[in-house]
Amino acid sequence: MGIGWLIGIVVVALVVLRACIRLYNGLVTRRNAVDNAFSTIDVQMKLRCDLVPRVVDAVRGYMDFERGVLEQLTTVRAQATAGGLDAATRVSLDTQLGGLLSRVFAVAESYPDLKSAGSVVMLQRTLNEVEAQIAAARRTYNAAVTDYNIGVESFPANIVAASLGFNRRVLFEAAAGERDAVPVGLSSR
Amino acid sequence: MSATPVSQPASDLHALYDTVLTPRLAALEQDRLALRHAIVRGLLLVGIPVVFALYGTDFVALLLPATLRPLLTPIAFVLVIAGVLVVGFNYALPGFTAYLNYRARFKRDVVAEIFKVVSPGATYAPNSYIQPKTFERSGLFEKRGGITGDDLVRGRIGETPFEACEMNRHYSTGGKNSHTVNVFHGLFFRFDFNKTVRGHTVVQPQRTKNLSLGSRDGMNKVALEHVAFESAFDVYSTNAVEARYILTPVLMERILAIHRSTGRQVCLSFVDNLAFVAIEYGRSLFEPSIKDTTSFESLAEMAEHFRLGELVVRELDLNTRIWTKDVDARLLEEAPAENKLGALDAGNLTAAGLMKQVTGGLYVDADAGPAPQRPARSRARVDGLSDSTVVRYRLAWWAVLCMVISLAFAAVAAIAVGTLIDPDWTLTFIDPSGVLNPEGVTVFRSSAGIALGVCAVVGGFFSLYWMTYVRRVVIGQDAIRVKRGLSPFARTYPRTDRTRILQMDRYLYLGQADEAKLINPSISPILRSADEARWVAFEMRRALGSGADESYRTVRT
Repeated sequence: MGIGWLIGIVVVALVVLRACIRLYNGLVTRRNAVDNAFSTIDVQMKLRCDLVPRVVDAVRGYMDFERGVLEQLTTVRAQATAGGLDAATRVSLDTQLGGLLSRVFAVAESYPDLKSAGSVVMLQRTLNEVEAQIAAARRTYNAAVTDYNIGVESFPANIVAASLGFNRRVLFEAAAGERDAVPVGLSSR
Repeated sequence: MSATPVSQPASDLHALYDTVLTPRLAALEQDRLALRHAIVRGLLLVGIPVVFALYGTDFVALLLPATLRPLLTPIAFVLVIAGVLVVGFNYALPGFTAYLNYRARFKRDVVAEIFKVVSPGATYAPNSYIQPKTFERSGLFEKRGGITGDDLVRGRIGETPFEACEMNRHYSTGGKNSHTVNVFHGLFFRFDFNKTVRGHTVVQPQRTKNLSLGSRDGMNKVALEHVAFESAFDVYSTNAVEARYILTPVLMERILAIHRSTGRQVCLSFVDNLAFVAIEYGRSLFEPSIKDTTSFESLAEMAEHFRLGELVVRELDLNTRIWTKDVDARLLEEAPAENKLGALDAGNLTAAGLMKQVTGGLYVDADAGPAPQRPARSRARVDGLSDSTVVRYRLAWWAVLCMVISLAFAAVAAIAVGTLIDPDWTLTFIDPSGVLNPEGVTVFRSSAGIALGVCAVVGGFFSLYWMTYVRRVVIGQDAIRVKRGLSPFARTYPRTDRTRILQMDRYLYLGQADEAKLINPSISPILRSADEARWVAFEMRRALGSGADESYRTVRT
């Protein structure tokens, strides 16, 4: 084998190595974007958890017959903030929490005094805000995951991804109860 | 918080047109016809000489003897210039005044009435517009070129405070192939947004035509999941999560609806808790027709433009206030920008009045403040005689310098003329002993024509400074006499005609008694300071008996 062949092989190897490095770096960037997007959801989920005690305090005096819902809300919140949970459990608990909060506010609609109380109106608006932010964060997460999955599954990046442990991520999908969930205004102004 | 009544149906507009607008348009008809005649006359006066210059000279040349044909081009040129001057002096100012009056009356009597029917709770200011800094804050368009606008509408639609106006920004590229670039010309809206916005998100058409969008540096493109929206718009944002917080699937659908219902290029920007919406039209929208009487269709279109704000609020769902951000009405309290020229016209402007307003900012024509003192160093001397007041100006060093320079150029020009006539005699005459460099002499001889041209232009330019230098002004009983340059004769201006002393910074001019002109004869050289000019003006006004404050004490040197 002549020196020309040797140089050729080295050049090809360098080109392949450079391509692999670029693919790898691209995958890392996309994975970080996914993690970053998830952390945004996490922040918003924490905000929703923080909202629970304030909601319970505000409505406790009015909603005696819905005491079970409030207790359930407190329990789920305690589980969600316990720590050491995997992402799936965390998301599941958060979804339950969202459903319960929506239910509390839906019931509150039938209590005129409660409905018009300034603190409850503000809490409802804060919840709407958090829900809208969570929805936006989930859409951002899904966009990042879609981008990442395209990277992981398309050729030739899939070779690099499979050998370096980049696995496909799962998209957020709205829970059955969430699909129709639309923020409800207590003050229909 | 009281909600503003929403706009009225189109049937109200029909009723308004039949009962109110038709008689008002008929009353404006005389103004429109006068304006149209002025424009036609102006176009004919300029157009006929131009057409003659372009196409008629060849034809006329056939009818003339050969010796006269070379005169045709200069004659055509003179005719064009004369046409432009006649139009400029006789039609431009009165025509423009008539246009301002017609436009002002149309907006006051017709557009404002339509607006009252369409948006009864809002206010309409035909000569105001959204502050240029607010327009720039949207970040939607290129930040180049002057911003103008008019037809500001302000108020609340439901709960949402808003303002809207017609905006226009364009610039000239300059250079050899200079052309005008339209940045934006259309309706521009600002709304108090119903959600908190900390970053900056822009929605812009994917394909733009005759629209110059701004830089998106510092923003990232945000891919959204709505296929139809994605094929029509590009979204850029400093915060991808916030972009999705603002642009919910429902909102994307509604932006598409606005895009479809207007059929125009629509841009949106969300920044500082505000929503900006820009709809490109490429033309003015609330102007009267000059060619024909403004039609019902044109008026109905204006009403539609006024209704657009409501459409945007409804489609963007801005009245849904269920998030933590409260209504912020500060935008209604900000002072709007005023259209300076528009502010002059109340519908009864005269040509002289317009010129006075325009030149009012240039000249000071009355004494104000404390009586001015003669400055310690002054070029002027004022002598009060029994029958006149004489103001003498000492020659400034720069005028002497200009005189020396222009005389030097005149000498070189004279030598160049001599060289062109008889090179040998001239060069022997000015350099009998042959001291000059022979190569230089050869170059001068070969380019004497160019030297003559350069000397005439440069020398002439420098001579302007001392030939127009005002040396003496005599304010007599009947006339004002002004001596300029080296001339032994004074230029006389009758006092019946010229009575106003105009000051512009360090210059003084003699203004007409009852009319304002842009160009007036000078009655001072460049003085040392504005204070010196103020003092001389004060003395002159006192001599003329036209000072604003006769309690000024007498100042004499």
